[in-house]
Amino acid sequence: MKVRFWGVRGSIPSPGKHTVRYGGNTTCIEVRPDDGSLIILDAGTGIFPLSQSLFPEFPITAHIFNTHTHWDHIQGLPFFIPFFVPDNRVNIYGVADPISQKGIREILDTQLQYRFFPIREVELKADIAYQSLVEAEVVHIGETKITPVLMNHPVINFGYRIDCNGKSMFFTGDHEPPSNIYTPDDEEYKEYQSLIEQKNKGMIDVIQGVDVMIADASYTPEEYEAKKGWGHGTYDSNIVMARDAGVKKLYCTHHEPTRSDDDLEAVFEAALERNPRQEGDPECFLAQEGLTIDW
Amino acid sequence: MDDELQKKLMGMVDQMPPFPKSVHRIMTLSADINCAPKDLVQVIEHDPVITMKLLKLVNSAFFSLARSISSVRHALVYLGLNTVKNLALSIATVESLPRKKTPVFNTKHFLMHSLTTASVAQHVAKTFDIESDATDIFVAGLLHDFGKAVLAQFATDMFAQSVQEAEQNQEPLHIAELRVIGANHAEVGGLLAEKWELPTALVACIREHHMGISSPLGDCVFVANQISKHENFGQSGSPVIESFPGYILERFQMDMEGMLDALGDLSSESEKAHAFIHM
Ligand SMILES: [Zn+2]
Ligand SMILES: [Zn+2]
Repeated sequence: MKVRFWGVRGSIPSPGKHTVRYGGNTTCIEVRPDDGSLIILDAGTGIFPLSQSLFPEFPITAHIFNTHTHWDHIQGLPFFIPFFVPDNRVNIYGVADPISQKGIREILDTQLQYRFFPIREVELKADIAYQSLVEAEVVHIGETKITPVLMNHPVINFGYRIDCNGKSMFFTGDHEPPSNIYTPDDEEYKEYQSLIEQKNKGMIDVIQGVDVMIADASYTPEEYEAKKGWGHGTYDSNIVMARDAGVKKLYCTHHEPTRSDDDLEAVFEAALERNPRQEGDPECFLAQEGLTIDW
Repeated sequence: MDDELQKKLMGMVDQMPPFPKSVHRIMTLSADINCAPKDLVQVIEHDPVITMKLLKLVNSAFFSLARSISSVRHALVYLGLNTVKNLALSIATVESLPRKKTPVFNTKHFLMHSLTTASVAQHVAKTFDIESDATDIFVAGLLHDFGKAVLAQFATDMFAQSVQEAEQNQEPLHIAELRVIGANHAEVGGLLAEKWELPTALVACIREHHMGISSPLGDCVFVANQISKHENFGQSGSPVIESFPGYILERFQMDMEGMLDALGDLSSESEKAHAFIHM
């Protein structure tokens, strides 16, 4: 299995000399399972350089899995070049919105309205199909199995576990570990806590034992204090989750747009020092644009 | 119940409006980005219509969640605060349309009866260590008479007649309903809960609360229901306080008097409900 990062930034692209090493594009991950399928996780701005790398393979069949519909995860979608070339096939998967009750097709339909983009959805040349997913509904592509996992974010967000040929990876999308809305002296505290534990266990059970976990580690614990409820995790929360799930390698992503490369390395180092690696613990890395994991 | 009546009843509930105060509270709270999640949860949890609709939605085929969601808090942990907040807001918005006044049915008193039954049922379960998810018990108490709100709204005249006849004959309301309407509020509530794919235990509890069928959840609700009436917490529309049947006496090993002693002072339960309705 091969995984390549095309965008590792959260919220908004952040080009410039301070982010040149880790990269400024927003979330996009290319996954190539051993059966040769092309799976793309999220369509942040990183999908544009990725799509240029695909020219030699045309015509292609691409499977784009959207974790959730926030801007930084869909921003690059209209610039996915294979859309404009006949004979390409693009399948888009993601969650339907419970408020508007609209399916995953709504992303492109909305982005490609004439006021916002010069080409309409019906004018795209590729063969495009949409599939709205529900929790735990497994998608099979060739020999690859993709399992959506309901995470916790201000909008419904699916993490995806990908399995092929005995190799496995998991991407959280954007995720904040659920926290108790009650205080310990509230009567409801204990019961709510047990619901949280049940929920966490449900997630851990699916992630269990993956080779690679890619996770939203936007904040340090100090930063998190002011950002509770924003829907993102910390380095520390992910190290704990990866440890609980028996993950082999953890890649931290969704880097804060204002964090320079030097700062990023510094806060990551500090996180590793706070969480010294015990036997059986995952190895931890920073996700970096252009980095390929091959195993 | 014949098919036609059943169909008619199904159609009714989709049009059930929540209590206007909760709609207003939800709109105010959700307009404040810093609102405490537990405040929002409290408002939703205390409105039987919004609770019912929210549970209907999250348990529907649209979400197809891997497990069935049994309470507002459960939905919050599972789907996240913002999603639940926006679901509640959209329920509240759609439902804030003007509705028909029903003279026989005082919504405030009904809400009071539902809320106190819910919290007394929870209290009973705690006191007697009855195994069941704590919020399930609250939700079951809150929704046990949901069918009455439906009948009052959509079979207004027949429901009014049932209330009157029950009063005249000093008989339980569900008996009068069956005679006048052809179905009682428990059946109606159960039918809807089932159609809305609420958790099975909850459906059974609503449907069976006048059938003399014993279950841990149902028995807590039965006891709480009688106590609420006995203590005049709100109004259920039924003039009769039913004495404890054999299976209740057996489970709790006491009658109504003993139960009132065992539960102690209930004024805080009623005050909480009162404060909620009047805030
Ligand atoms: Zn994001
Ligand atoms: Zn997001």
